[in-house]
Amino acid sequence: MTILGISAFYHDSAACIIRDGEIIAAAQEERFTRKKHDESFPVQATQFCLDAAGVTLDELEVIAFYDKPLLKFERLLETYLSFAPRGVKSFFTAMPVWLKEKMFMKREMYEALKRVGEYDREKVKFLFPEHHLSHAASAFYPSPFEESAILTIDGVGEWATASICSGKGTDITIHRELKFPHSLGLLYSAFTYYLGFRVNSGEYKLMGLAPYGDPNSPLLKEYIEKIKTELVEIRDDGSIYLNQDYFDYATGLKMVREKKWEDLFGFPKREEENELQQHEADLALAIQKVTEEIVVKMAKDAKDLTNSENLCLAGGVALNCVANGVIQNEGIFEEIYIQPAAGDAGGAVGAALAAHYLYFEKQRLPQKPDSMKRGLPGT
Amino acid sequence: MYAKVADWLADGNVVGWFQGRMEFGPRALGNRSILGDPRNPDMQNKLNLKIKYRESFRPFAPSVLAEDAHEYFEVKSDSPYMLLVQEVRKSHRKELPKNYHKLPLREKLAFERSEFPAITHIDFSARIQTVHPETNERYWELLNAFKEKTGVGMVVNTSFNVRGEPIVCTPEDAYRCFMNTEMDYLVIGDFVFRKSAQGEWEKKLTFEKD
Repeated sequence: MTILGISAFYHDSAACIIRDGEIIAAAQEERFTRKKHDESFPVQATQFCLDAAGVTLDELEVIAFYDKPLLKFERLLETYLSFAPRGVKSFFTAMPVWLKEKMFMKREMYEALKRVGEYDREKVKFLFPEHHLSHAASAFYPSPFEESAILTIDGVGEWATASICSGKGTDITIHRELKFPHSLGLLYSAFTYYLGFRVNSGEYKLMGLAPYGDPNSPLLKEYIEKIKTELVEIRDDGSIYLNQDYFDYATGLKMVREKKWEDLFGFPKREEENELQQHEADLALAIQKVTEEIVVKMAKDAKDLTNSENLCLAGGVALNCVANGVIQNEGIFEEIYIQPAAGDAGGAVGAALAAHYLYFEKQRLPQKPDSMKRGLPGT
Repeated sequence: MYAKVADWLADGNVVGWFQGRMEFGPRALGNRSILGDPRNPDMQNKLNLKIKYRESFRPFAPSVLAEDAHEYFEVKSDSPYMLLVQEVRKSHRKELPKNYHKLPLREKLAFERSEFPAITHIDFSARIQTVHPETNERYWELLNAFKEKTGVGMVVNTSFNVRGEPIVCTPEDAYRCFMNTEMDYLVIGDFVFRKSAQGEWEKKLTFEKD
């Protein structure tokens, strides 16, 4: 049984093909189109995967899509309704894109697939596992664990921005979810933006900047304090509440309300090419420390809910390898497995594996060290 | 070939290393990588400014023989995907000046923090990739050859691309990137390209901000 997984239209489009549960090939569209974080339908990556498996579209059992389009649309609508009328301007800007590509994603997919090759629409089954289920599947199924806690954290997929699940054999059970607009990924992205880096790609730079912060400076303490009193409430179980007075992503076209941030931290948003200053490095360290505190609390909650010795991680925040190291050092779990393509590209793998194990309920034999071919299933 | 490439690396050259199937996910893991000598105090700067054309503050990561990782780092497990950060062991660190945290950012960066300055970040952390013979034989062989030459089973590993560009996919992409930067050697499979032996090339580098 051959299944194609596809992640598209968000960022980092990708395709993955599995046969009888084994990953035959996976690739990101950007590598072929030479456009970084390419979000267009992964025509070339799909073709590459089909070639690697020696099949045509008609011979596929299922095409599994990472996401659930209507949930996204619902989020968009509900956000605008609950924040109206502030969001009217961006509503009109965002709407055509959503209408065209996301609302009618199925139709979009049928059309885009024709660019890969001719196929009979009656023959191929389409499945749409939920966003965080795809992430959870991408971390758990390739892992060497028979059972495990699964923590997924990212910006936002549908309503859920983070989830705690448990995996056992072929099953994944969702225990808790954190809901939009409260999101650790978006909080980190907001700081990425404020410190002059690009959202969705500059998070890595923010993490690299953080160690330049002075760990003993009173300024660092002050920033951490301000973040935790004004921007984000951290509860004992790791769930968070973001004060929407400071953010603009839910209704506007920007990440943050710059004036309010400037009043809070005492300096303006950094412009992209300006030389970095010490206080900016201190703020980077502050949000990194707060992020670590939150993920450790989430990991502890995952431990409480599952009582497992193992942890699987996925979602964009799982690319924060500094925070991953902190989770490891806390010793909450014996073993940790992290999906190498933890961001949206890995969703293609997760969607395909979710179809195989959850929809078709196929048997699973965990392999050591994992079933990701050490991250080298590409061309 | 491994011994040759190890020699070039130890002499301070930057080598583009292109082997087999490409990686899936954001990190290059030794199949589409640019490599250098982690002991070289100029390597961080050279890679940032002359090869990748990116901001000078950004750190680089080590690829280390899995069996030797504990000698250099406070590792608690394998880290095959470069997704765990741990610290450089105290025995390999150098003492910091008392006012270190008060130094301007540039001076902090310039200070040699360990025997492996190219991969030791400001706070002694390193984003480790452990390399295993059973899953990436050629890369392991190269690291092993570098160890035979230098005593250190570790190289600097950064993704094979310039700023704002995705990681290279095809040999053509790799050659173009090689010629457009100040990379010294390019190895594709068993084929080696030496920069000084290449013909005329008009550098066209239109990288985007990322």
